Amino acid sequence: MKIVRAIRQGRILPSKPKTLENKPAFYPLWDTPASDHPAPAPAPKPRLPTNAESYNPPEEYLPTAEEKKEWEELDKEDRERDYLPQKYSSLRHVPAYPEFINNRFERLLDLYLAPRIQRRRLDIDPDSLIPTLPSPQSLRPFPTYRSLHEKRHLSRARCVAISPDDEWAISGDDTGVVALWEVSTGHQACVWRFEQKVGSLAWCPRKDVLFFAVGLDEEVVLITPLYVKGVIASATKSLFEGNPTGSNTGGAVEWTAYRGTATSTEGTLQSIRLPRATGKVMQIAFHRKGDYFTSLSVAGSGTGQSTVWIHQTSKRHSQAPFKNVKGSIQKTLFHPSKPHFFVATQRYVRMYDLAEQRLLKTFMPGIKWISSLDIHPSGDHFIVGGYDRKLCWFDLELSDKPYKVLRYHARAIRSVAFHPTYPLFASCSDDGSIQIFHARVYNDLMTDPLIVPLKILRGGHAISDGLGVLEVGWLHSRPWLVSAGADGQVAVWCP
Amino acid sequence: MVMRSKEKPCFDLAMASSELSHPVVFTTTTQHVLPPSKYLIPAGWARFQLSQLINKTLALPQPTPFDFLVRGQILRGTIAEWCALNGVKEEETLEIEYFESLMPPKRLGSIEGEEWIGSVSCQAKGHILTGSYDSVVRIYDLSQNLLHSISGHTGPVTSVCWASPDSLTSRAVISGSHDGTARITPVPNLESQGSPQPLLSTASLLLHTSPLSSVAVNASGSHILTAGWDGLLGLFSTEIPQEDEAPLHVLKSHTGKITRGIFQKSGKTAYSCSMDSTIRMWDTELGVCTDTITANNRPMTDLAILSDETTLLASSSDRVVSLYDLRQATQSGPPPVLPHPSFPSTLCAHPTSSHKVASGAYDGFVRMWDLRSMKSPVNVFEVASKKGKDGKKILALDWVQGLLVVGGEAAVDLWKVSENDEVTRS
Repeated sequence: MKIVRAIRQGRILPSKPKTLENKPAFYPLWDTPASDHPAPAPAPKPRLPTNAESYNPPEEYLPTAEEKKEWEELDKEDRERDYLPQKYSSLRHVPAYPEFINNRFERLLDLYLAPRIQRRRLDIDPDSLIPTLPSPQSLRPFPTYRSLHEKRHLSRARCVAISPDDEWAISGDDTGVVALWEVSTGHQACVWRFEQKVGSLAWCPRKDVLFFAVGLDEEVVLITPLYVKGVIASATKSLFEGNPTGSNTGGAVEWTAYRGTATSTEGTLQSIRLPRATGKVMQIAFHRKGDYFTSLSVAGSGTGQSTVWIHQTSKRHSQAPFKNVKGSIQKTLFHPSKPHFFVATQRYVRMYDLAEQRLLKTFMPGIKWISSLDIHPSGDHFIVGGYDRKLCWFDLELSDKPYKVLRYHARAIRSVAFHPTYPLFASCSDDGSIQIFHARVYNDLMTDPLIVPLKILRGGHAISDGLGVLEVGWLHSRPWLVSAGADGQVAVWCP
Repeated sequence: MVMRSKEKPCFDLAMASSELSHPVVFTTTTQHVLPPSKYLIPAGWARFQLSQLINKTLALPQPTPFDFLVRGQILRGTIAEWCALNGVKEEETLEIEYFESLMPPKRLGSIEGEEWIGSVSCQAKGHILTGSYDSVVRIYDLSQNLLHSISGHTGPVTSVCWASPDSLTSRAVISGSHDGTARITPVPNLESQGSPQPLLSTASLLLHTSPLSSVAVNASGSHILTAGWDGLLGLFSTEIPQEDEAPLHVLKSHTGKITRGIFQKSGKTAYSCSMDSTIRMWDTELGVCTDTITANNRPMTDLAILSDETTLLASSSDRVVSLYDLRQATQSGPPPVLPHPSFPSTLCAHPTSSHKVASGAYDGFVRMWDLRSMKSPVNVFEVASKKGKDGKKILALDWVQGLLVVGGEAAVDLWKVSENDEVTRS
C-alpha cells in the first residue's frame, strides 16, 4: 500500500525515463548506412569441369598421339585447353594433381590483380535514335514528276520567275534571252533578246498591275508582257507615265525609258540605269506590297564590290541603304511583314531594321559561302543554302545559330525557295537534283518546326560544265515547281 | 522434244487445269454468230484461244481477232483467273459476249504547221477545223487542203468549235483566244472556190479580262459557253447581233482558272472543270451552280462527258483521268481512275459508244480506253514530232466516227480508227 501510494504521489518512478547515458550496451555493428559506391563486382566464377576432365572419360574424349604431341608442342598461352584428358580405370589410380599449386596461385593473382569495374552497358536501340517523322505519303501534295520540259534556251538558263497569277513564267539565260511562257502548256509567248547576260528576274507581286524586272549589266529593265489587256494594262501604263514628284533625275541612278538594243522592245516600261562599274544586277527582290524592290549588283564576276539599291516604282526613286559594304553580298530580301531587311554576305546573314536604320541581328550559319536565302511566308523563319552543300534553317526567335543543318546535296546548293502557301520548300543543286521538304511551322512558340524530307527529283536537268539546276520557283496557289537548269531546259514539276 | 521435256511439270499443271472446264454461252451483236449451244471451255483458255475457236468454228475467210466481255468486263487473263477474281463457281454458266477487237489505228496524214495547234474539231463532216497559236483559225478538208482561214484574233486561239455544222444558213465557227474574246464567224460555204478564202468574224463576245480556255456550243446551236482563266463562264446566245455581244449569264463560282466548259446534249445543264480541283454543274436557264464535285488536290485539265451522259471524265495534273458517275447523288469513296504515265492534257469521248474514251498526254501518246477494262489502255499510239524538235505535246483531240484528229505541238494528225459494230449495252 505504501508503495502504491508512493507511486501515486510520484515519489517512485516505476520505469526510469531513458536518457542518453543508458543507451543499449549492444548495437548492430554492421548496420552502417550503405555506401553510395556501387557494390564491387563479383569475381568471375571458375569454370565447371566437363566430361573431358573426368578421371575416366569416354574413349572419344581421349586425344590421339598426334593431338597429344601437338598439344605438348604448343606454348602454354596458345593451348586451347590447359589439360589433356587422361583415363584411369578407377579413382584410386589417379595421381596427385601436379598443377594444383600453380592453379591456386593464378587464381589468387586473378582475384587480387584483375581490375573489377562495373561497366554500365549502353543499351540503346538504334531505331529509337531515329526521329519519328510522318510518312511522306501523308504530307501530299508535293511535286513528284516532271510534267513538262522544254529546251527553251541555248545556253544556261540562269533564272526563272512565276507571275502572281500563276499562269506565266519568265526565264532568262546567259545569252541575254528572256522568254515568257505559259506554265500549263509550255508555249513560248514572247521573247526579249538583250545584249548582256541576264542576271536576275522578278515579277512584281501586285495584283492590280503586271510587270516584271530584268537585271542586266548596270541596268534594271521593267517590262510588261503584251498579253495583258484591259484595266491591268492601263493601270500598269499609268504607273510609269508622267514625272512624279520626288523622282531623282539628277541622282546616281537614272530612271528613263528603255533605249537599249534589245531586239524586241515591246512592253518595256522603264529602264533604271545604275552607276557605272557597279557590275551585273545579280538579284532583284520585290517587297510584298510591290512598290519597293531591291537590286543587288556585284562588280566583277561575283567577287567584287557589291552595291545594294532600294527602288520605289511609284516615285521612281532609288536609294542606297548602305554607304560602304564590306565583303561581297550574296542575297538581299525584304521581310514579308515587318520593315526588316535581310542581307546575306559571304558568311553571315544580317537583319536590319529599315525604319530605325540599325542592325538588329547577325546570324551565323557556319557556311563557308552562302549562295541563297529565302524567308518563310510567316516571317519567323528563313533558310540559307551554301555552296558547301549545307542548308541551314533559322528561327528568328531562337538564336543566331541554325536550328537545323541539312546536308543532303552532293554538290553546291544554287537556290532555295519556300512555297508561298503550302508548307513546302525546295532546294536545287549542281548535282542536278531538286529536293523537296515539308516544313510545317506552328503558331505555338513551344513547338519546333517540323521538317520532313519528301522527295528528291532527279533526272530533270542534265549537268553541264559542273552546273546543274540553277533556280527553282514555286507557283503561288498550287504545289507546282518550276526549275531552270544549266542545260538550257526549263521544267515544270507536278504532284 | 527437248522443249517438251523441259516444260513437262508445267504441262502437267496445264493438263490438270484444262480438265476443269466452264460451261459457256456465246452471244454477239456482230454478224459472226456462233450456233447457239452451250460450250465447255477449258478454264485455262484466254482471249487468244477463244478468238481462235470462233474463227475456226465459223471458218472465217480472214482471221478476225475478237475481244470477250464477261459480265461487262473485258477478259484480260484466262477464264480461271477471271472466275477466281470474281468468285464464280465452276458449275455456273458464263455468258460471254464477243465483238471484233479494235484494230490499231492507222495514220491518214498530218497537216504540218509552224505554230502549235491549240484546238481541233471535226464535227463538220469531211472538214477539220483548227485553232492555232499564231491566232488564226483554219478549215481544212480531209485531203489536208486549206479551205478557209479566219484571222482577227490578236492572241493564240486555244479553242474552236462548230455551231450547227450541218445547217447551211446558221453554220458558224466559234473561236476563243488568249486575247480574251470569243468570235463568231459564219461559214456559209464550206467548199472554197480555188484559193483559200479569208473569212471575217461578225461578232466578238466580250466578257473575260483574261485568256479564254474553252468555247462550247450546245447541240441545237443556240447557246455558247465560254470559259476563261479568270474563273468566269459566260453563256451567250448564237443569234448574231449587230454589235459585240453581252452574255446572257455570267456563271461565277470557280476560284481558279477554268480549263473546260461543256454542255449536256439537251443544253439545259453545263459542266465546267477548273484548276481549283472542282467540277461544277450549272443550270443554263437560271445561270446558277447546281452541284459541285470537289476532288482533293486534283487540278483538272480537261473534261468530257460520255455519250450516254452518265459519266463525267476529268483529267487532272496528278496523271489520272477520274470518272464521276452523274447518277449517284453523292460520291462515295474515291472515283475510279485511268492511270497515265504523263500529264494528261486532253480528253475526248467516243461520239456514240458509251465506254470508249481517248486521252492525249504531254508525252505525245494518244491512249484509247475501254471503260470496261480500266487498268490499261486498249490502244496506244504516238503522234509524230516535228523534224529537229523533240516536243510532241498533245493539246487537242476530236473523235467522230472512224476519225480521230490530234492537235498538238507538232502538227495536226489524222488517224483512222477502225469502228466495229459496237455492243450497245443497256
